Amino acid sequence: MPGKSPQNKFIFPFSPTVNRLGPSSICGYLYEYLEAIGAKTCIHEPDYIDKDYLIDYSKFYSRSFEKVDKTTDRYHFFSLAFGQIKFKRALEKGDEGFFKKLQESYLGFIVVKPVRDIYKYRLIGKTVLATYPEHVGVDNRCFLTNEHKASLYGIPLKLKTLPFQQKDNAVGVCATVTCWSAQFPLMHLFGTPVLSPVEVTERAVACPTIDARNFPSDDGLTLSQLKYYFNSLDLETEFINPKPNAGSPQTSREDIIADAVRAYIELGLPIIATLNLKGTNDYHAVLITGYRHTYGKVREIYVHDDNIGPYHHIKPNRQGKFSSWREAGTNGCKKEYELQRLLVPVYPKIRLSFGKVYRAFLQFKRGTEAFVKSGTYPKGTRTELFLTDIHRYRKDLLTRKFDGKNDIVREPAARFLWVIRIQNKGKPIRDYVLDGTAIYPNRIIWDIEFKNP
Amino acid sequence: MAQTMQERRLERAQREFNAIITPEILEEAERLHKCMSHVPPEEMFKPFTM
Repeated sequence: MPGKSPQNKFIFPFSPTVNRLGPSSICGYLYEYLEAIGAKTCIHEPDYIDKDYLIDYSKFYSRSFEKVDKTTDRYHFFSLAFGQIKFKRALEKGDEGFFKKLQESYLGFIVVKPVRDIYKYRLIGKTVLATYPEHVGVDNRCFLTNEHKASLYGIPLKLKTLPFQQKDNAVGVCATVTCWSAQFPLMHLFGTPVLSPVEVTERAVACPTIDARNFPSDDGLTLSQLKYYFNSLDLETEFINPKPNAGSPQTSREDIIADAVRAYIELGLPIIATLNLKGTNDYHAVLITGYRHTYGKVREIYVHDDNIGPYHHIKPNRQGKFSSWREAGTNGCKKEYELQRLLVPVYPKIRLSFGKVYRAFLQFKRGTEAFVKSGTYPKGTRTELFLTDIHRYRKDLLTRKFDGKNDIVREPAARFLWVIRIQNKGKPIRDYVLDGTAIYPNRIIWDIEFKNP
Repeated sequence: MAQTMQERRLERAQREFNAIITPEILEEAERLHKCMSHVPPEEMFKPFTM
C-alpha cells in the first residue's frame, strides 16, 4: 500500500529468508542457490515498483475485480554479514567505505510479486542474481552476462548476470519468460527493446497460430510465434536440429548441442532450447545461459528454467550428449525431456548459418584428430568453433603472439566472424577466421598460427 | 599492379583453405544446413505450455 511507513526490521541474516520468499519449489531452489553462492545478509525493500510487473499490472491486473497491489517486495542479498544498526549508521553518515563493501559483496535481488499462482504462492518476478564462480579447479564456467544496476536507498549496486523470472499464467508462460530473459543480451548487442512479459506475449500472438485465447496466456506460445516475435525486433532466427543424422552421417558422433552452445555464447547470444516431455504431448521452452568446460569439453549446461530457477545445471546423458535431460519430478520420479530444437535470435548480417560452417568445422576437426594420432599435434589438442565480432576478436588478438600481428590487427574485416580454432589446454595453436556475413563457408579472412611460449 | 602483403597472405590462406574445404565439402555443408535448419510445419504450431 502506498504511504506505508518504513518497517522496523528490514535487515536480517540470510537463513530465515526462505520463510519470507514463500514455500513454493522455486523459492526452495532460490534459497539453495543463494546459499551456494554465499549469501549472508538480506535486505527487504517493501513497496518496490518493478517496471516489468507495473506494465503487466497496467495491461492486465488493473482491470480485475479482485484488488491487486501494484507494488512488489524486493529482497537484496550480500555475502557480507552486517546488521541493521550498522547499515542505518552508514546511511546516516553517507559512509562511502561501507557502501563500497556492500557493492563488492552484492549477490543481487529477487522481486516477489503480489500476484499468486494456483497454489496461492506469490510469484517470483525479476530476479537478478550473481552467477556461480567462473573458475572451478581446471574447469571454467562461461555465462551469458551483461551489467545490471540497482539502487538501494541511493546506494549504487551492480552485477554482471542475466535476469530470470517465473512464468505467470495470466501474462505469459515458459516461452514468454524465456524471450523476456533473452531480451537483455540482445539489447546489449543489437540495441533491441526490452519489453515486459505481457508485451512480449502481445507481440508474439500478433501471429495467430493456435485456436486459443491470447490472455490469460496459459495456452502458451508456439515456435512460429517465437520466430514472429524475434522477427518483429528486426532479428533473424536460426533453428538448429540437434539430430540431423539422416541427412548427414558425418554428425552422428558429434554433440551438436554442446558445440552450438559454445559457438553462440562466445558472442553473447541467447539460445532457446525447446523440449518435449518424453511420452507426452507437453512442450517446454528454456533459455541456455552458460556452460562449464574442461579445456573446451562441455561438462554441464546452465539454463534459466521458469519452472525450476536460474542457472539450473544440465548434465550430459549416458551417451555423453545433451540431447535428453533428466529432471527430478514430484514424488521422487524422474522426468525425461528430449531436446527438440535450438532457436538462436541473430542479427541479420550474421548470414553464415551454423549448419553450413559446422560442416567445415568437422573437416578441420577430423584433420586435427589425425594430426594428434600421428603425433604432429600434442595429445589433448582440440578443434572448436565460435562466432565472434571483429571488436572482440581483435581485442583477443592483441593478447597473443603471431607473425604479421601489426598488419593483421589493422586490416579491414567483416563485422561478424566464425572462428575455427585449434587449441591445446586452452592455448590457441591456429585460427581459421571465416567471414560471418558471407553466404557460404568459403571466404577466409585470416589464417593465423600462434606462437605459444 | 604489385600485390600488397595483405593480398599475398590472403591468397595463400585461401589456397590452403580451399585444399581442405573442397567443393564436395561445400555441397555437404549446404545439405547439412538444410537438414539442421528445417522445422517440420507441425512442430511450428505446437504450443509450449509447461
